[in-house]
Amino acid sequence: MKPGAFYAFFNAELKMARSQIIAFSFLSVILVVLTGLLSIKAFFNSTDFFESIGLVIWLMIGIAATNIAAGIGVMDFNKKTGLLVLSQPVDRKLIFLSRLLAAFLVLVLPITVLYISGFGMSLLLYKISMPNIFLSYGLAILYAFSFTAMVSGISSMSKEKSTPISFGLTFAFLAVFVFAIFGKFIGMQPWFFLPYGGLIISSVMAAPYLMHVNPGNYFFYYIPYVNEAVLIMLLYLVIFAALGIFYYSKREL
Amino acid sequence: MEIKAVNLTKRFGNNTALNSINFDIKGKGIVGYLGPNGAGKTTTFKIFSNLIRADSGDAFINGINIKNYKMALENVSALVDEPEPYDEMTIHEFLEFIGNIRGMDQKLLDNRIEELGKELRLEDFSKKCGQLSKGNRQRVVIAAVLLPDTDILLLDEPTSGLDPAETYDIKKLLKKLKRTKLIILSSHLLDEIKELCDYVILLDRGKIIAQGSVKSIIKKFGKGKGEKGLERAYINLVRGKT
Repeated sequence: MKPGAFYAFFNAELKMARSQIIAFSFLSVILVVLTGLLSIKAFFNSTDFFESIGLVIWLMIGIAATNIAAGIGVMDFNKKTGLLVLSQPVDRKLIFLSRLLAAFLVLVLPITVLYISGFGMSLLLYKISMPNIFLSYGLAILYAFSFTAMVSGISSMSKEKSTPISFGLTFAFLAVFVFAIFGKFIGMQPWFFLPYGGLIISSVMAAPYLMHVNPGNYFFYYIPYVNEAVLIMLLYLVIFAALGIFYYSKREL
Repeated sequence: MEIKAVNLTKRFGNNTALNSINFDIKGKGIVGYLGPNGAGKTTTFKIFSNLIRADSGDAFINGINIKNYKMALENVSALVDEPEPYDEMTIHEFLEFIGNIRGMDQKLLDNRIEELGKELRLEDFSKKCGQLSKGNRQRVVIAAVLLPDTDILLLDEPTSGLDPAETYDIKKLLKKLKRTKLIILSSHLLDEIKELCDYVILLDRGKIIAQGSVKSIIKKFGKGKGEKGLERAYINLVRGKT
């Protein structure tokens, strides 16, 4: 394996994601502005605003990671590009890994834009900074990496790009119902569910003294502690990245 | 330059695509790899380019087993089953991408792209591959296959989708390349095979049914009414009239 091959796939992935980076960064600013307008209209206090911004970031990461990672494992198998690209003397594990790392990098920009615009909006509306902003930012990056690994892992087992997209968006949008069912009805933390770990992004900003059980909220009944959330996210990251590499290496075309 | 199959077998469910085939091709020149649709030609090419794995048997390129594909594929470039470039990339970006995968030096890469651009009459390099016609896309793919200048080329119907003038350019290029390279060429166009190849291997239902020089195949199997030459031999062989 020549080192140039790794960078070739890495750069190609970045180039192909250019329009998505711009679109998601732009969308991030719009979402923060809309959250700010909602806060003014609904007389949110600063905690409500920080929680809302956190949930916007949490949801946005699910959507962006799904779009960016859905093609990683399947793009060369459902189209005929793989017939040329995968017949090169290149280690397939490194192709998958280089694309995954590029997707990680691609996601960092819209997340950073979300935090910078959220920080600006917070100063503008409440004259204070978002609490635990750096901790939340770090957790958001980890959540984005885990979500990306999960979608790319599913992508490498799929025949079409639509499968990981459906899976990722369902995970992102229907997460609150999973929380409600397992929290309120079964009385169990959905610790096996990645978006549950991602809730920490919002919680560390909204509640400096983190509550584990939140009886007042129907959907977010349980909220993970930081160490629990990190563990959930790391497990998803490692397991799905390993599955992705395994399936991508073994697939036939 | 050598490409060798030893008892190569591949099944897809109940269908045996390759049934213990053996060949050993050495030296320079163009070897025609012929057979009806479903005979196992593309399957053979896919095994030799690590796109699929054989169920049993071995494939060797220059003595290196394809199981060690990173080494074995260093000196091979393959065009298998109508590949496509990335729609989002420009022609130049795509060729540069392939060159970078191969670890080509930037100066050499730029020279090769320019050279192939002239030989294959590639149009505007800044055009996105997704905007190209079928023929132009095929020429970009051929350029990508020829770019690393490997000693062995596996070409599965390279003129498919090209118009007569484009086909002429490719044949002219292949005639030039055969002096220095070993090329395995699969095609349904028997005139093309006759014009370009020195040796042919004929495959049917996953088995090699004949191999030899074009002249010897015609002499041995080309008897009968109607079409003459290689076409007659081909029909006789695949219809079992030998």
